Amino acid sequence: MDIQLSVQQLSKRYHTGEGVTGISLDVRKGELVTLLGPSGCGKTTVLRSIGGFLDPDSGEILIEGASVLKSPPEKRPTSMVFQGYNLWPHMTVFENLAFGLKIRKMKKADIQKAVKDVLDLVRLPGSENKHPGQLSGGQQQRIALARSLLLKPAVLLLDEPFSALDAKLRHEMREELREIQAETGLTMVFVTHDQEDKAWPKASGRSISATSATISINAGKAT
Amino acid sequence: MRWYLKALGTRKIIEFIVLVIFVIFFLGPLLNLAILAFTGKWNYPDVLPHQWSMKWWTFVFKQEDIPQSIGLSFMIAAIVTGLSILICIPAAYAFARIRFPLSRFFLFSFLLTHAFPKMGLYVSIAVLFYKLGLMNTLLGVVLIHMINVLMFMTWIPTAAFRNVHKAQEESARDVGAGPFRVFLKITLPMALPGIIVASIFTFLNSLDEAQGTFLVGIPNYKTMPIVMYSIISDYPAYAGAVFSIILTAPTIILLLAAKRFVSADVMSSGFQLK
Repeated sequence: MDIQLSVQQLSKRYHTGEGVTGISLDVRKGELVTLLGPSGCGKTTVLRSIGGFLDPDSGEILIEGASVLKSPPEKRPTSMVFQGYNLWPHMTVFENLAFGLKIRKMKKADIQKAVKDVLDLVRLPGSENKHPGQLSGGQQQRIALARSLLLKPAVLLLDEPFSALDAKLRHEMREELREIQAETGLTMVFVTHDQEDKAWPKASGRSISATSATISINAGKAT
Repeated sequence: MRWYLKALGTRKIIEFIVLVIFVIFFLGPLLNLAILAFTGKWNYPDVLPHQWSMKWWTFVFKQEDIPQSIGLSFMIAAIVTGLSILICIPAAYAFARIRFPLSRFFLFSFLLTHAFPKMGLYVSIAVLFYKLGLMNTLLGVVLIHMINVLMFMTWIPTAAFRNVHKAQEESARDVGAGPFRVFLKITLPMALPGIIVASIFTFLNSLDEAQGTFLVGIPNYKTMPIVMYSIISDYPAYAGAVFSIILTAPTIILLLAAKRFVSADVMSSGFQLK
């Protein structure tokens, strides 16, 4: 048992009374866990707490055995794909992707190679010099995914990344994500309110689901 | 000709006539100004002057205080723009991002200086400036100019910062940028068009300010608009025309340079109260 991410007794209440109480969650290395529930049930709260964008009231979050509660988002080994507005419109796709790598002081040639590879992986080769505004919504989300993949996070967090896309595209993206997950072996936590996301598309011939576990937050009810 | 007008439809024709009237109304005075400025000799009934010359230009630039006033005006405008960027941009960021009590009240309070007749406000400020020894000083003039632009310089960048989505800042934090780097590389560049518009507005407003400068800066700080008053009253209209072209030129040049950024959207979003 190789626990990559462990959330223990996590609680966070907002002034409005919404939030989560006593959530515990263990994710093994290479697993893809889906948090399922209607809007407002607190699944995003859990995800944002893991990513470092929320301070939980109590509880503990361990990544690879070490507590990350004290670290700001930029110091955590997590990476998050948001619902929308992921990309920075004043930068090209290349600059968007290279931003995190430059901060990590990677060499220029290495950055160029890594960006090229990841664009192949998300099936958008050659789009380095485009601006996000020139891409469709689905392409933008794929670039956002690529940016997170580039950083090789210990845990990849996906906050309803495909909710703004139409049904057909959503289906395709899910399949792609599953393939990427199989290829990279990344640990992922995927948040959705879409029942469909629970049943991950079956790979041709094989009937395995890429989702290792689906967890309903707050017994699947909005609090 | 008839069929052509018919094909156009009355609506188009009326629109065209309104446009022509607007252009005449708008550009007519400017054209008249340009003609006046280059006039050598012009007798009454003629439509155009029968002799063109640059003599009023040389006349204006030979006046002792005019080149000096141009320099002074641009210097003051630069100082005012620089200082108000330093003061207002952080304030705008705070209004856009930080929730604090009475923030809307404070944002509204910038409207106050525009709610009263300017002269009344300036006189009461002058009383204060006398006590503080700010009359007839550069600092006094700069402060008076800044009072005028605080509203634009705060409101427009506030809207610009608000248009930067939280997720865009958060994803930058997420890939490893600290808060300061996020502001410098993500938030500021994305809000820059709004900030540039506000800065140009500030610069032009300061270049143009006359009332407050007149009260606080006289006799030592004679800016372009103030010198213009005396030129208009003391010299023929030709000299006034030359000078007002000099005064208008920076406006046109700056607006053309910033055409990329200046749009009705940027301006109007500054005045939406959310």
